[in-house]
Amino acid sequence: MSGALDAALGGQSGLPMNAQPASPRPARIPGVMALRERREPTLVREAQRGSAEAMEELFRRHWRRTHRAAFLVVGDSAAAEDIAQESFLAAIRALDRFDRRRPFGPWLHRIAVNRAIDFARSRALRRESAISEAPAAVARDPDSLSDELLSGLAELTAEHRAVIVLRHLLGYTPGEIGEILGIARGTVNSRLRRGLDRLRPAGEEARE
Amino acid sequence: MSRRERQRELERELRVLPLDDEAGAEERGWELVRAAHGERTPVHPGRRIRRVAIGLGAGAVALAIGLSPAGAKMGDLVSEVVGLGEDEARPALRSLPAAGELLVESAQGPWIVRDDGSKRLLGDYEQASWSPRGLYVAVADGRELAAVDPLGNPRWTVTAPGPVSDPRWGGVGSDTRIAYRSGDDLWVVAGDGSGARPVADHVAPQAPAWRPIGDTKIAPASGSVHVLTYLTAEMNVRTVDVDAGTRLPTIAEDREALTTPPAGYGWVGPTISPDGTTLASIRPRGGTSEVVLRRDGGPARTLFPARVLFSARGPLTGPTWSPDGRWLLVGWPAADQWLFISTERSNRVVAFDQISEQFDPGGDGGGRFPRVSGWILPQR
Repeated sequence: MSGALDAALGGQSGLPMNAQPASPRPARIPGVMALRERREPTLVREAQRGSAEAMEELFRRHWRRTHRAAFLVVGDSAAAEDIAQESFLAAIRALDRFDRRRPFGPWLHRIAVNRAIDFARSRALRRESAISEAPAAVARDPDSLSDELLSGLAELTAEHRAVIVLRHLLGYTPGEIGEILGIARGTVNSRLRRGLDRLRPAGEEARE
Repeated sequence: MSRRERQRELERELRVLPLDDEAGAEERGWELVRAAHGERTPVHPGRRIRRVAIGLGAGAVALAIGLSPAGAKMGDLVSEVVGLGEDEARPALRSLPAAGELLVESAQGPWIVRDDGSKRLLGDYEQASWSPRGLYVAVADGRELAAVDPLGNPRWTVTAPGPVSDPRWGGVGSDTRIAYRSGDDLWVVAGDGSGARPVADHVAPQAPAWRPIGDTKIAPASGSVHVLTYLTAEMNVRTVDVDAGTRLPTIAEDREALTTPPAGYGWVGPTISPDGTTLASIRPRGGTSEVVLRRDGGPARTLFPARVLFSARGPLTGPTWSPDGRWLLVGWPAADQWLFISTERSNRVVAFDQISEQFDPGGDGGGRFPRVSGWILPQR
């Protein structure tokens, strides 16, 4: 990932500007609460030194969005959980070599999203619909927004879904997405346009 | 709606889309990550806990996925695992993937392994079998058969005329029996240690098997409760009502229940899932062993085509069902590993390494490969 991307994402938390608010979390002991205020490079350094508290803080900051991103690409709860877990484990395996000047999140997201794409591609090769298991993985309501969103995602390829997720869930710029996925910026933009056309917010058609 | 508004709406939907058991997934993920992070000490860099999620996207294991071999259902997956090495397997048996306790036979004696990974050596016994409710363990020691509690305290002991082997505890509630071989003879004793008596002589060196009670498909037609199947010295299958002392017609399931077939028979198992719907077996195929599942088609026992869950080079031992039926435990002696294979999630295997060493503390693990005698959810 480029220095520009690092600079863009390497703020206080190392997360994109439109990152979703922190999810409700279990009560913490006071020492761990203090960790929430720390900058990510500090947490990475402490995690490298073996601090479980720092590792947990990193995990809590990034798990939900990583897990969600994986799900939106593969459309399978079990696989998404596996992919998110494997991504964190891969990050831990490489933790000692990690450059603390770089943000943790994009590094993790690169691993997770690419693994998710690989998974979806492989499953497609096995003649299984990459999104077909999604209905079983999500609480279903025939009229729910979730259904429309999942249906729209199902019509896209895994590569298109990844672009949508990186842009609209994780908040990366088209240039950053291109670097993460190894594709041209123009390709990212075209996929974003097509994705947005497919994924009309629920109810929009009725209003039109 | 403008394009910008549409984008904002999409971003909101992506953020709030409900995921299945999201909080649970996070906690499971954290437990795994915490363990892995805790094990990444530079002292033993190879001893890192690694979760093996064998999947197409995981890429963590040398793995090739293909379509089914001849005889298997199209679309089934075959996991051709070249090897689950130190980097892919968890070195320590820290926890079981499902609730329950394992009974394990090792060179040092039988062990009970709890689902948190803690284990206890029951004593210097040869072989062991869970009681049906997991309250006691039948153990063989020379010419003695004993029942011990999970702490290893003897409850009762009976002495047999010859060396005792292959105890198998069956029955329900407090109405149980233990079958065992004594020399070349087959004996049975009540669960309270009373009424030891011979059932047959000149039997094969093969563990007997009890018919499952309450399984409508394998229910004894005679109404007998304690029905035992064994192999004669001539390798004929015999089925008897041990209480009445009468011989019963042998059915296909009796033969299948003899889980350690004589050489040349080929298959290991099948073992029946806790809910009675699925049979798990290990079958040799070329130089590999395949773990296969067959769903039982119902009263007519029309079995669906075998589904290959996993294959590995060399022989495998087991398989043993988890009490919830979601996992199969298979031993891989050549790799000195245990494999927990998900029966529900394709290509999901959790491997534990250095199994011989773990059940041979103070030794070099060079003894016999630990054998799983049973996996039970104790009703204590």
